[in-house]
Amino acid sequence: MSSSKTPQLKFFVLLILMAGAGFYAAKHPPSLGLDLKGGTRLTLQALANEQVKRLTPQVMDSLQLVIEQRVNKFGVSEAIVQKSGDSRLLVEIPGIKDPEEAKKQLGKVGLLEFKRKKNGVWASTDVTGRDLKQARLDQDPLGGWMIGFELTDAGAKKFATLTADMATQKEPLAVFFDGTLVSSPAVQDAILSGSGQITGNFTKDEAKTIVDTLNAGALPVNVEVVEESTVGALLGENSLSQSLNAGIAGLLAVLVFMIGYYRKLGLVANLGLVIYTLFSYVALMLVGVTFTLAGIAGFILSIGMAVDANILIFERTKEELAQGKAFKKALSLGFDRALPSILDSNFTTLITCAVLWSLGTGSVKGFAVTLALGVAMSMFTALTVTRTILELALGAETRSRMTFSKG
Amino acid sequence: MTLITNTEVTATAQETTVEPKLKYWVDIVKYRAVYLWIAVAMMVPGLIFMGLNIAQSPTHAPLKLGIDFVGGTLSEIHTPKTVHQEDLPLLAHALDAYEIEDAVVQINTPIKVNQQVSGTVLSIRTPMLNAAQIKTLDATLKNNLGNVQLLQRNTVGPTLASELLSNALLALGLAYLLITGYLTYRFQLDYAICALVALVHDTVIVLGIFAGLGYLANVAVDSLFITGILTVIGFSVHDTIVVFDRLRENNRLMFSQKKPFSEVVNVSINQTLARSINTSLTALLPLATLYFFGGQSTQNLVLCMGLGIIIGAYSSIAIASSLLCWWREKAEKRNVNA
Repeated sequence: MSSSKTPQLKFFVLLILMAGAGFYAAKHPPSLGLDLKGGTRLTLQALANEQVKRLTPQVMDSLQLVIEQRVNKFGVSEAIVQKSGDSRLLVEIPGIKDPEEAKKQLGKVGLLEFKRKKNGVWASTDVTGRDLKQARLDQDPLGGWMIGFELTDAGAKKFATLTADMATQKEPLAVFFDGTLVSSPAVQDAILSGSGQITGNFTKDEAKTIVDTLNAGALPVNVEVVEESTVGALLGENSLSQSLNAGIAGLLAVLVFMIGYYRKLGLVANLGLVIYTLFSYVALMLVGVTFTLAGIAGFILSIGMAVDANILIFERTKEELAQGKAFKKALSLGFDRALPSILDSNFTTLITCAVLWSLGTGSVKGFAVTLALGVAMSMFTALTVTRTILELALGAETRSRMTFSKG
Repeated sequence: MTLITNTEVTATAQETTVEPKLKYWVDIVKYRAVYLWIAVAMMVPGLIFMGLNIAQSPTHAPLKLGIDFVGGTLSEIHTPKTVHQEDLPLLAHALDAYEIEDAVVQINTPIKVNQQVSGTVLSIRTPMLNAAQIKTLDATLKNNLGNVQLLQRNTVGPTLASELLSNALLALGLAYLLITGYLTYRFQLDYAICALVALVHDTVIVLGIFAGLGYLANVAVDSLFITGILTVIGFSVHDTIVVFDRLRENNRLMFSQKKPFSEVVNVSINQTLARSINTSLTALLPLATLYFFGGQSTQNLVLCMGLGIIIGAYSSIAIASSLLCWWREKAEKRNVNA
């Protein structure tokens, strides 16, 4: 075992960690899933068509951008659009009033238009997204970002006429997508060859956005809603308060059981359990977990499982005590002998969590992450936190004993 | 805090003693035949329900499958009116009139509205509805039930549903495979196989119970249920490992003493019995609070895990260990005869 100074030091470190975790938990509200705060989650399936035969990563990039822009128009904060697999997008819109309208908006095929100013207002030209073959991100020789584009044969003819007319005045030619202005570069020269560039001190991200928008217009992809989940605010509130109550009641029940059965050791385990609950909550927040109903269930379950390591150690310690060993020795042996069981048994839970994470979607993934993190954290608290507290208590005990037992 | 007991004995000889106590108070191994019959008795009703579901349910699946796995739309609504069981066919009929066919309407646990529990919560399961049909559904519900509030609505398309189902089955198979592999690596193949048999035992019984619930009470299983089953697998093998770990340790210690394997098994089970029961209890306590206070959304998941934990704790003692004992004794006999 470690020298008598180390438990105090460890305990001090633990106190600092606890203060830090407590401070963090108080300052940062958890991010709640849609099933707790209400909102709509949509899984959109991109569909290949005549023009777009393969759903390449570029096509999906464009689609994601388009969907993001449309979602932003709903005016809700914290909406999320992310890729899911090779051909799907996951859209989360919190607190939306009319999910049917949202579905309709997101399902539209985007319209790309080229416009020029007439009498001070943007007016449509005969060039649209259909005339564009492809856009790509390019760099000029000096390393500046720009957009290269190619037109279809029909498009090249129309574009040549249009730009020849506009180049004399270096008129701006605007790109509109879904009615929103994307960019309005001035036409420097007539573009006759069917390919051209847009330049203008772009950052890489700006240029990429324009490329993706142009491609979304050139290669319009239809989307289909393959999954929808809408939770009203009323149910969300109910679920949140119910799971909080269940969590607190569950924690209390375990605490009472541990004291009832293991008495003083149980008290130490309980201290460890409360610290565990705090640490794993903060760890989940740091990992960036969004709390869903299933995730909270996983978290509450992990509270019940977290004491398992302690129970294993204590039962083992009891046995060693029954064989007549000194408490300190018995405890040390209890820790050492229970360790293989703790590691082996928790590893299988981690295996199932890994399977769930890799094959599951949405709430299943959330459950897997919280449970896995909980299990890992419970091993940590049982093996370090509980042990430190016990060693500290024992250290104090041994020193006070020595004064009268050694004579 | 006084943590040192007064039983301090400092004889160093005590520490080097390798012989564990051989006393035990439950002779587990003796009742091997009984466990077999218990297992049969617990599995048969479930298997019968699975058969009934396969024969009678429209999906011909052994369990009643939720929209996650077959596709469809599930709406949960709150109405301020009090709806009784006998009103439900009328409502389904009203929907049918607007070409929303095969609607299954159920009464769910009520929820709090403005701090008090009132009205009725209904769930309406239909085939996948399009935007127009959803409008019709909402309008029909408003006409019949007054100021209806949509609590939640899930729609899953058929392609995604079949993908979710195959992923769920794949997950189940993969979990079995990985766990057996891990146990073979950490222990031996016969340990792993016995643990696997116990796992299959647990899974079949839990699935059987849900097959019964599906048949009798229309309880459908979804992705979360599969999550529950996988957690049960992880938890059950967790218990088995603790027993096996002890068994391996004792076997090493008692090898020189030429004790029969059955005795080693009995000693090991008895040594880990308190832990198995206590651990299962501490996991069951929060599950119980979740079941009773946690709301309806996770109730099936929680029920599945709770049942699994109880059955898993039992099977790691009764099935996995006594099976291993039987296996080893057979092997020993064969060695003696050879």
